[in-house]
Amino acid sequence: MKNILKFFLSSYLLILTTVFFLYSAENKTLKNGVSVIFALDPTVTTTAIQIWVAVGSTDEDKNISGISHFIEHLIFKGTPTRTQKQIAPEIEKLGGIINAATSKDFTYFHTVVPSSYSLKAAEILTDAVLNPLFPEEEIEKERKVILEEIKRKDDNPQSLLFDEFYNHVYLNFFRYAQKVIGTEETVSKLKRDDFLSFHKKFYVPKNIFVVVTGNFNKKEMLGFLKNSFGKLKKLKKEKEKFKETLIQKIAVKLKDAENFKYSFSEPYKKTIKKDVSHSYIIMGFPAANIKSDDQYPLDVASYILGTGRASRLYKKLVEETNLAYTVSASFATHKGPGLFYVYAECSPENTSTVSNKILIELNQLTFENVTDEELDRARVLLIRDKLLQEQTPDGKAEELGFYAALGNKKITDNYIKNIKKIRPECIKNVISKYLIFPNIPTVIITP
Amino acid sequence: MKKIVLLSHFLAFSLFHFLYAQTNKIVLENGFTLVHCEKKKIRLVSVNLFVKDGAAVETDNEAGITNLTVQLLTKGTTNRTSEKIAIESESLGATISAGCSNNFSEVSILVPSDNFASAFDIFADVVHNPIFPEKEFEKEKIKILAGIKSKSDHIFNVAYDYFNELIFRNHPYHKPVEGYKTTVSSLTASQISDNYRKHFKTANMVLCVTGDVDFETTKKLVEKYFGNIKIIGTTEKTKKEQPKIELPKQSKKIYTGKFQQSYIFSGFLAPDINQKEYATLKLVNAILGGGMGSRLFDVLREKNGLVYEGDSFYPSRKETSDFVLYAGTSKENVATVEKIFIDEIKKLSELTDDELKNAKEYLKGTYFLDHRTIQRQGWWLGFWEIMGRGYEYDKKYVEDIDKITVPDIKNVCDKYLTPKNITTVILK
Repeated sequence: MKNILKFFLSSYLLILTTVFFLYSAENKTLKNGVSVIFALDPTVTTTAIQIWVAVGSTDEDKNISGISHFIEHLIFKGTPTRTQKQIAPEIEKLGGIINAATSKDFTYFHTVVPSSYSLKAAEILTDAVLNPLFPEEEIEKERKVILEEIKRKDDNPQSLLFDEFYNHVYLNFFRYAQKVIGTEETVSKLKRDDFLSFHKKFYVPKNIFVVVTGNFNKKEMLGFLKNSFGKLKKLKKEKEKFKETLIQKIAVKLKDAENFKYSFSEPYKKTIKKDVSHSYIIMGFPAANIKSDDQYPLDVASYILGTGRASRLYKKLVEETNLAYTVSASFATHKGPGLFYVYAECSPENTSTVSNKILIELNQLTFENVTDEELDRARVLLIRDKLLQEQTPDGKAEELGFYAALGNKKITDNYIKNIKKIRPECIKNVISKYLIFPNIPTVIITP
Repeated sequence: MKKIVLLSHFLAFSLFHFLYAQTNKIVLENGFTLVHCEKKKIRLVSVNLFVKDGAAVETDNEAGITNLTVQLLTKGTTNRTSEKIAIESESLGATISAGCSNNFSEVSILVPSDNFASAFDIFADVVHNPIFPEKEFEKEKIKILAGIKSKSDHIFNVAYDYFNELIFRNHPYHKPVEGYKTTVSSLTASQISDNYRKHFKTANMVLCVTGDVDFETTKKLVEKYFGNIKIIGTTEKTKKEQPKIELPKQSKKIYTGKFQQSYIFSGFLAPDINQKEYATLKLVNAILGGGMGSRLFDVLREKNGLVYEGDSFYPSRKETSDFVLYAGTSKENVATVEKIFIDEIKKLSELTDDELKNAKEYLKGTYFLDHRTIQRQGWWLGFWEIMGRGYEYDKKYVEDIDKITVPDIKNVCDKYLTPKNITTVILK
């Protein structure tokens, strides 16, 4: 049975690979440096338009923490030629949806509309992103909205856990430690001039990636983008590179950010007492950055460990022993060192057993090869999830925009090929390379 | 402007035609219903099984039994252990999931199309041959109890549960679908087994298959796995006569919570999915809470900066439903938000043709966009079928929205959304 399954999985992987190559994207760079990515699919009836800007909380000094996210909100407040009501509500009148999001490394604005309105939607979204007015009265109202958003986030144990974990793991080393949303203190102090200068500094051609997918007229769309984004002034000085944003004291140690591994000399475990129903645990370590090929075995390792009921951790901690209510593992890709982590929920009395067992499982990956069956299961699920992502124009655009904004466009096309190359020893090597053992950074929220 | 609207109407119709050009439905002799819709080249297949009668048919004493039953389906069959089900399905790139709502239970599987037949074998096995092993039963119960407990960590869930208890009173919708700590704790494996036999009958089942598999292949598989099942016992509906609930007079309860924010829910009892006002009230919901152009977004966020999250919703349910406005806000702003809710309800009678037109476009557009994936397409087809409107209503719903006029909106608001009948829960 096992052999039959293995044969079957191998042939299945081949079939999927051919499908992906049919949908390769077209990359163009406008004369001023704005990147344009098209993925035309004439079989669908919608168009997704996404504007990715390579600016996020890692670009913020401590005193302006949260400014990227604040700007994301203010983008919808009006331009010299459009009121607030002529931006998002206008897209909705076309039967479309529109929204935006901010992260550590990027901010993006996205819409999906029926194809016949693709150009109109592109005009609205482009105007909003490039020409925001930042009206004083709107800033004050939106400040209150964001302060509510901060409270809401802190009320949620999972959000709090992740924020604390990033802060704990990256500590004083990287701006990844800073919250994307900022703090009550910084958000309360940001002024219109701060927004104007931040927007001027970072919303520049080299940082902009426009992604259009689905059904649309390529020639017409490209013409519009040349006339809008193409008119932005090309700046001689590029945005600071990632390494330059590192805090000085560690920059010396991290000449090669791709291959770094740091020892965690600070107390590795942080426990937060809170009025919650059970324990929320997260533990993990910084790992490969966006340029590194280590991302592929790290993705596979995360699926072997904690994606699905048949994953190692789920089987051992939930199915077999009932020690945890849930457990999962993931590798979060960043421009700088990404984050490999395991998340679990359990009763307070099982907290230390669960975190110890997670540590044992992680360590086991460093000296014992995973089985072929485990590897095949992880790969087929990863490929299935990529298919799911690419099922819609906006899913496809998100994938293209994400990797482009982070600085490695090739991943979208090469992902399956590289996942297929993974062998059991790759998992052992990659976890050995990055795992901080035994003092793995851990944050626990517990009653 | 008119040209744009006409074009957009046309577009909505043609988009739906595109989606469902190849939808087929058959009913097997034993009453099992198959709805199939092919979508070529997608390389995935989504399978959604809907089973009539969800948590609403439970008594208060057995609250949570439907949820526990469906969660246990994947935890062991006469042919496979729980572990084998997980390993076999995930090795095919498939994920089987199960859940329930007030009106139906669901079991679904999403699988790469090349592995469809193998995955369907596992799927049919969990639907037909579950054995509810005692050990798995105890484990699942602990997990569900933990889930019930953890709801207390999430402000929305806490406030919404309070609200349902108040507005639905003696109607089964007052209960959370996952049940209460006391009721779930007292359930036994034999109760689960009995519950399964009572409800999981072929005549109660609608299977939706969407994606990269043709009708003939699907039909053969369905006949192979579901066609030979004889009807056990009677096929009469398991539905019980539910208690009628009267329109409540204004009622309000204030609770104290452990959170930084406060939450407010205000709402009214509203028509069920089969009533003629259903589509009209969906449109009212779009006017009030539909996106960034909606009235609540405008008044709560854009004009006053009172909330990050403030919205309305109108769940599609059998027998009765509710129309709800809610918001998360600072404790000092709760009274202001409560007043805004009442004001906005009163202002619904002030509706222009333009606003109606915009709300229609938004509602139809978001509805269409919610059909982008095969999982959602399959879900909608099965949903309309199991709720008694037939899968064809997926298209007709859009036509019904187009027919709604300003007077229709006024009538439905006068009838259902009267401030003197409002139910409010505040979690401070």
